Amino acid sequence: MDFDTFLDVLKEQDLIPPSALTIMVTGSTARGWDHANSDIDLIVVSTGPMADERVLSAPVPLDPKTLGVHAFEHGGRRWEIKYWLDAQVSQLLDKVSWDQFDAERMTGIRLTTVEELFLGRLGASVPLGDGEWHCRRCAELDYSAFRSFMTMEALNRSDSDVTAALGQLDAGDPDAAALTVREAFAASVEGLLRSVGEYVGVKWRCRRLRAARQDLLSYDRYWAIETMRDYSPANARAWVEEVAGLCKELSMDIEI
Amino acid sequence: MTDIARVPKRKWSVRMRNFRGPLVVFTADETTRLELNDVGRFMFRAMDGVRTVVQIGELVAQEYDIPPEEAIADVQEFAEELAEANIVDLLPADPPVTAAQS
Repeated sequence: MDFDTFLDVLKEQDLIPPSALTIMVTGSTARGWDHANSDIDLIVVSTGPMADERVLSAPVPLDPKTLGVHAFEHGGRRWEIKYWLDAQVSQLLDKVSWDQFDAERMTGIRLTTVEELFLGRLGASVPLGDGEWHCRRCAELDYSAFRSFMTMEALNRSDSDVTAALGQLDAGDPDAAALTVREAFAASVEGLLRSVGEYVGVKWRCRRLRAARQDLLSYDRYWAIETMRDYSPANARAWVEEVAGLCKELSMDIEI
Repeated sequence: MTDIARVPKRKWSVRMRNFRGPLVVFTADETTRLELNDVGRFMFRAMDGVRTVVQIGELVAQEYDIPPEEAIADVQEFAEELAEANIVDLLPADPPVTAAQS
């Protein structure tokens, strides 16, 4: 896909604010994973707000308290633009500083989904035109504790689900235990992916695992558990304990 | 002293985090929190509910090139410490299978 044409579309539709610092292609399109039904996701960062009646406001726990969002159809695809302010990006990076991590290291991150999406997708986004802003902010993100926060959050979920699964097993509910430990495993895999900088997109987990530079979990083993290939009601306890054990092993190996 | 034929097993409820250095092990309520060095981490990882204290000691002896008796005594002491901290259970070893049972 020729990203250069994206700028033309935005200019034609007068969707670029005068104070724009960067325009980025993000999400599956930026990674080359998109398909005919994928949205084209764009982020515009500027110093001043996008003043346009077509742009809606979405809440965000920053100052100012809203983002601009505009969606439209073009070329048979749905396009969505989020308008961030540079000051909001600075605040977001402050939330994931190492000082914050040291204060809250055992709890994990507490960002909203829209904040997580922004930071999680930033590194894998593609700037249109001048990449100076993108390059500088990516460096700040790499230096931040975002990766550690995100990894910790996933591992905490995995631990909670393992505890619940074992409790369900002991209470004589192996079906529930199997599904819960599968959730724990999904969280562990997210933790693993996040620890190597693969942040967002549950629907892209397979691709992310294949793309990730890690040697803690083979794709074949991942897929066997994700699809419950070796599970049967006759071996429920053994399967649940094996998956729970793997989650715990991963928690010792995944670097925070 | 703990019987060296016992089998240390990490409790399911125990949480572990690898902070790119020591392995931090803690109970879910965080009343107990330990930082394990390399040797402690090696021993702890081996406490899988299958290996006995002796077998873990033999692994440690091989890994760190120390006399097996010394390694077994270290594992025995460490396993007791972890059991007191509610980090591991010390399970009885499976009784040997007799000819009549097999």
